[in-house]
Amino acid sequence: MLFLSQFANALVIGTLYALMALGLSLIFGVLKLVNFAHGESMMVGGYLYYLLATSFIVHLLGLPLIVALVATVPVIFFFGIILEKLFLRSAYERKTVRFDEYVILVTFALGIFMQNLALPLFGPYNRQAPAIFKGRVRIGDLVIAGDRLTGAVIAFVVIGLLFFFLYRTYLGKGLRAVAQNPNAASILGIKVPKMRGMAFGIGLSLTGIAGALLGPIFLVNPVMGVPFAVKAFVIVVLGGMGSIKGTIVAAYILAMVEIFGSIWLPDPTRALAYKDAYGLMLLVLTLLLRPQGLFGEKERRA
Amino acid sequence: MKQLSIFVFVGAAACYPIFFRDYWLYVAIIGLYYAILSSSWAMLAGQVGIISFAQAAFAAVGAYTSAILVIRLEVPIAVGILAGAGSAAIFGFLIGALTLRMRGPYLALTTLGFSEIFRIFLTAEFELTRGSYGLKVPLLFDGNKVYLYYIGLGLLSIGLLTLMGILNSRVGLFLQAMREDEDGAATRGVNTVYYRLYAFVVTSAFAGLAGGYYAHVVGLVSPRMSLISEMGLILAMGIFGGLESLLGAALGAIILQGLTEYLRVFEEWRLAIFGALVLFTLRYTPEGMLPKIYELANLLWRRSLQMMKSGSN
Amino acid sequence: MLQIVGIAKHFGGLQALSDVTVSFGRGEFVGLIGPNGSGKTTLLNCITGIYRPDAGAIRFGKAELSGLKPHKIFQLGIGRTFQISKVFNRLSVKQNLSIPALTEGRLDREAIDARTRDILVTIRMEHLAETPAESLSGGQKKLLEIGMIMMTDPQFLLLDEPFGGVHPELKKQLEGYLCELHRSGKTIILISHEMPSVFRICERLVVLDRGVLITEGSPDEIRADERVINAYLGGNNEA
Repeated sequence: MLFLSQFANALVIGTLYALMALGLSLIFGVLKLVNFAHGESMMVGGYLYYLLATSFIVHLLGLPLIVALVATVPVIFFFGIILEKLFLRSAYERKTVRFDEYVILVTFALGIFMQNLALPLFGPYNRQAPAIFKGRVRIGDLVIAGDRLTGAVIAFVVIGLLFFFLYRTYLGKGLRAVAQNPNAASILGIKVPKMRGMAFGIGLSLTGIAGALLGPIFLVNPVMGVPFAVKAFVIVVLGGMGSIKGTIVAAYILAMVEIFGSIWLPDPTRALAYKDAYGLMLLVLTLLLRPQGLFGEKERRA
Repeated sequence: MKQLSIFVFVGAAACYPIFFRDYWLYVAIIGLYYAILSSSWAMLAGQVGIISFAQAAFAAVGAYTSAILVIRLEVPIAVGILAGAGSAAIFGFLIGALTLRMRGPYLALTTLGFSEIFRIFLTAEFELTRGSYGLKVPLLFDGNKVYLYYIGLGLLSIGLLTLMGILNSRVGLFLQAMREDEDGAATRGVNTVYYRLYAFVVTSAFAGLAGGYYAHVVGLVSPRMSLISEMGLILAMGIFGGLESLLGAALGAIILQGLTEYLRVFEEWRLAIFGALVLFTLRYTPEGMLPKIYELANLLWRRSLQMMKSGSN
Repeated sequence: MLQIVGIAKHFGGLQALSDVTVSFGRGEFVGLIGPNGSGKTTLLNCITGIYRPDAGAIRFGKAELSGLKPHKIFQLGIGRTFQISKVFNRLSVKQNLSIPALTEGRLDREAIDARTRDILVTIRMEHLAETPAESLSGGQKKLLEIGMIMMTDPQFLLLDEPFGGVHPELKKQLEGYLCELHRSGKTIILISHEMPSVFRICERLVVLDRGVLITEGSPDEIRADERVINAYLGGNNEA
């Protein structure tokens, strides 16, 4: 019985993790860079939802909270487009600048900047964002927290929309084309810089939505993104950089490892403290033993 | 990178305590700590081309090693600090060995992972480290700031001269060749495994040295030393001061540390301002803001000399 | 001198080399040819230690090469150039040249400087000594790579497309260097698509196609060989 409820829990959390990691995966796939500001992007989504959900507009007009969630999307999307244009565009155009080093430094710096902007703006306190659906849900003998379940359902829907977008729409196919071969895509008439901006915007949006969904569950504060960023990195590396399928599979694996892993360690307090470390160790192990992850491609040299 | 500039800098810095005491001297001491971290990190990032996010963690390794040895085994402080450098070097070797086949973001991620794992370890192992309370540590020279300053300056000088010496030797050339093209370097005879480890060991040893120094200057070591935001600060200092110049990175640290104090008015917005500064530097003057300022100053100086000449004609 | 026995190498689903066995004698000048994707560069990468072969052995004199690190293979006296020039971009031409000599460790600083100056004269790039390698044209980078090889005088040379994208004047110059190097006793394996040059200067040709060694022989033999013609043109001979 315990096993079943933990398993259900892992499925729910896994879906949320998948949404959270897909943004990172998409950005890597199309722009070929690891967004070290990933955690902070979640934080932005978390705060945005919190502000919109607790703002007068929503209260006054009595709108359902889901509106607040949907409203965060265009904001973050444009935020992403602006960031890409401001900081990343130049790296693609000036090929003499060492691309790899630059993008690591600039995305890391962006993350630190956003974190330290949020701290004075919002204070280091935890905020409770209102959950879209509170309470508990009974499915047979299982009891699952309502906010987690709704979060997972919404995440599932968003992931579904993403797949539809990527595989059934022209823009989505354009993104996949740029991911596979930017030069060929450009020759075929696809505006590659625009695609890159769009990918970054979409990637941040996915991450932001994840932040908005996780906010009510795990509390919103300026550093909320850090542990999740770590998990996202683990997932993307384990699944294979640039592989959407891999990301989703790995998300569920991580959720399982976290939930069932805590049961293994005998000492409960130590186990809790090290909980976040499991993912890190999984990350380092993967990078050492199978850097291409489960579904990624091995790099070819010379 | 000239040895001369270092001597000029050290000469000027040696006069500092004549004019500044107590509070500002303490600020400078902390600045020296960051200068060692910043310049050693810059060497790895700028000259060797390896971006590591573990520098702050290595400092923490040095600090805690020294702290534990001095408190538990009553080892003299100087020995503790050296041991700190040694243990950081060992960790540096391990990380270097682990990341031998990794490039770019994968390597950065691994170092980030190590940094966080270490911080969690420090917080969790209460028996050993008193967790987030930290360990109280005896001070060097009973906290005499003037002595502490000169020791810090000495350590920084040793660091800069050593690293610069390496960079100016054939080893430096090999490291740069590896940065440009690792396979190409190996094919031309560079033992890339050896020199990668070499770079890691040397830069992490100095980080550990700085950490040990810091421990006995501040009197307290805490897991906060290994926070990613500490790494962010080191990164900001290095980028601001210029990755390609060790002295630049060191100066960048000292200047930003000084700015930290001046910006106390803005207290909580300080780090955001630094962040914006770093982003601006990366985007528009990626070789560093200090080198750019130096260039501009040079230009202005030459222009005014020209004007004076034509004026007298 | 160099014996390659049963070398195989695969990448994911692609078998780049299958059971390749070939020998190269001291002082030979051999052309390694074959259509694109036939595994020529992969073979070179296996010899110089950049790839580790999945199977087989590579013997150089008494040493077994497969499994050795590239820098060790360099120390044994094997020099190599790359299809896409691997020069050290932000280092000057002079620094680029000095690196192989510095790693070899045989000469002291002064001797290395002197030799660098000689090589710069030979490849006619004295005026570019302090220029960063990234500012060089494609052809100049190829020349620089040749220069880097000449610095330590290796006995065995592996040249991957040294004529790639180089204009005719420079090609003649390069051909001249290679013949001279050969005359001075060096063993050279040359990969190239420049058929006129290859047929002109190589004594023997080895032909690969899709990872398999299909034939070897003198230029005249190869020119007339149906299998080679088919490999390049694919299917029935329409020439």
